[in-house]
Amino acid sequence: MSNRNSLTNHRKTRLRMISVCIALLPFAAMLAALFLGRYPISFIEVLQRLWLGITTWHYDVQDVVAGVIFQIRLPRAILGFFVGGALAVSGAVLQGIFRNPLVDAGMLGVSNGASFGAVLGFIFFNGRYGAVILLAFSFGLLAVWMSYRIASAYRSTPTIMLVLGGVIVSSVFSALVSFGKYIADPYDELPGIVFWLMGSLANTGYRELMIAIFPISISFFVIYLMRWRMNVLSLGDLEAFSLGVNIRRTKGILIACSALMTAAAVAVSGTIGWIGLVMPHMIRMLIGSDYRTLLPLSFALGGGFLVIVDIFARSISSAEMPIGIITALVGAPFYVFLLRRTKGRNW
Amino acid sequence: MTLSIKHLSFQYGHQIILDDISTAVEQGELVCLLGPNGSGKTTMLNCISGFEGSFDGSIEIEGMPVSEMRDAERARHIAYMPQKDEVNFPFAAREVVLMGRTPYLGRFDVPGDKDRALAVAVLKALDIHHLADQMYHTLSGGERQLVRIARGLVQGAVFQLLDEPTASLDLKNEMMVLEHISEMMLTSSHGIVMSTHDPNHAFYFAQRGVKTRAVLLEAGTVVSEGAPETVLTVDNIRRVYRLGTQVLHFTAEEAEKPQSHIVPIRTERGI
Repeated sequence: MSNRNSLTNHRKTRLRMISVCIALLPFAAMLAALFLGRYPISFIEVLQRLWLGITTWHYDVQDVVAGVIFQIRLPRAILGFFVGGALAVSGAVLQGIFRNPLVDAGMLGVSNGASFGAVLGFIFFNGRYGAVILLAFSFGLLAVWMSYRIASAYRSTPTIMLVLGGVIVSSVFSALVSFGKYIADPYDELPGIVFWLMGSLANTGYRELMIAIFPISISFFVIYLMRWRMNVLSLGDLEAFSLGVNIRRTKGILIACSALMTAAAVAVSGTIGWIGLVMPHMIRMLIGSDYRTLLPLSFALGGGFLVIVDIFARSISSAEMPIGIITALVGAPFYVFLLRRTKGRNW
Repeated sequence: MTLSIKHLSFQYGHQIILDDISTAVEQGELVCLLGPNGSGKTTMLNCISGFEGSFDGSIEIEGMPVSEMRDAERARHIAYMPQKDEVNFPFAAREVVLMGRTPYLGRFDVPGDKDRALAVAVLKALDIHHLADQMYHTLSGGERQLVRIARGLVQGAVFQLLDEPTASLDLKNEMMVLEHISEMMLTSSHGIVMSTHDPNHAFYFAQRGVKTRAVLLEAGTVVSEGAPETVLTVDNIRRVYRLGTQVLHFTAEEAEKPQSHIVPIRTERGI
């Protein structure tokens, strides 16, 4: 008995160590994002400028190093953290609600809806940034709303129907995106569309950060408040209901929040796959399925991962690489490694 | 407290599943719901729990319709243990038991130290505290049922609905679950509705001194209800299950009272 107790204690300490590491990952990644890149800046220089920035709250406009750090790399790193976190958390929430490890926000039509909105922005507004973001955001939410309307035509099991509705809406918007690409000007508009569809944080700054940060933080806050109810939902609808959880309302709020945070993320960064699907799995395998830790750690891992991937995206070649390519190339082997180590435990 | 069911009817499309069922469950009473597959046992439990809302008739606790109760209030009165156990995410057994405290928490709350202490106390009372830190989905079927029973106790609801709690358990685990249910009835005043396929469960509870009532369903109607001896007769079983049986009487070792036992003899084909 005492042997087993010490064993579980040992396990608990290990879990806590891993949790702390994951929680610190985004900070380390964001710091690294400040000195890594095509423009050479040393670690010492970053620390100097950061210290100056924090103590005096402004920086010398003539100083190119400070400009690169504060105007380009810092907002981009923070945005990467929020976008990655949002994608991972919405994946964790939706996988839990639909009781299906293969679901992410794309399943509800958010990604394809937002893509179509962006395509409209490129074609009709010459790719003006504000228009693209606004249209992507609106169409992302519109797509979820349409999926929801289709699902509510059925009487029973609304969540399964929501997936069906999402598939229908997704395919319609995907066809519309293709149509948009077909009629787009191949020299002027098409490259922007294609690049956007592959996902990128290129040319983002404080403006994009300001647009994305509020929907993402508010949604995450609401989702985090419902963490215990989400645990109870893992028992299945019938048992959760008998424990006094209003299934319809709880799921409705959670789906709405996931849709909102994903739409905000996709609007500023384009469609970045893989993170929403895989980061929550990693946390489930490493730490467990308790949403009290799963939600914040998914945010940290997804956010940290995207910041790191973005460093590669902008440093590998002189031209920016689309992030979606690297997330899959870097993430897939790591995921397989983890799957072999943990033998897919916890799913 | 009394849970009364009046003129309960339920249709699925044009198919009538429950047809004008009226009965009541008193606090301190165990109702064994018996009947062949498809006779409406699970549907009846779904209706009583409030999960299935589109029925005709009324289900009330002390004159208060269950359908009009707020979610948390209903959950403090009725606990439901469905047959299908859908947990597919790993949670420690302790956490699964702790989930029974949900109706007492605000929408955004998480359980606190008092809830935790209560969960541990119930686990100890049921003699399954050693399972607390094990992962629920790795437990054996019998252990899982005990953990769910513990959760029902932590939920503190007077009325407990158990849908075939012994389904697919081996002999020992089945007995273990029955023992815990009868101890729960003898030590506190719950009102339990338990659906089962084995009429001998009703005899077992009666022999243990639990106030037991059997309700025999056939195609959504009550064929007979009352004391197990008067309901579970050779004639009634023949009528409902089309099965020839014989009732034996025996006194188990160290038992105070004799117990009946129904033994199936042969099916009546072609009837």
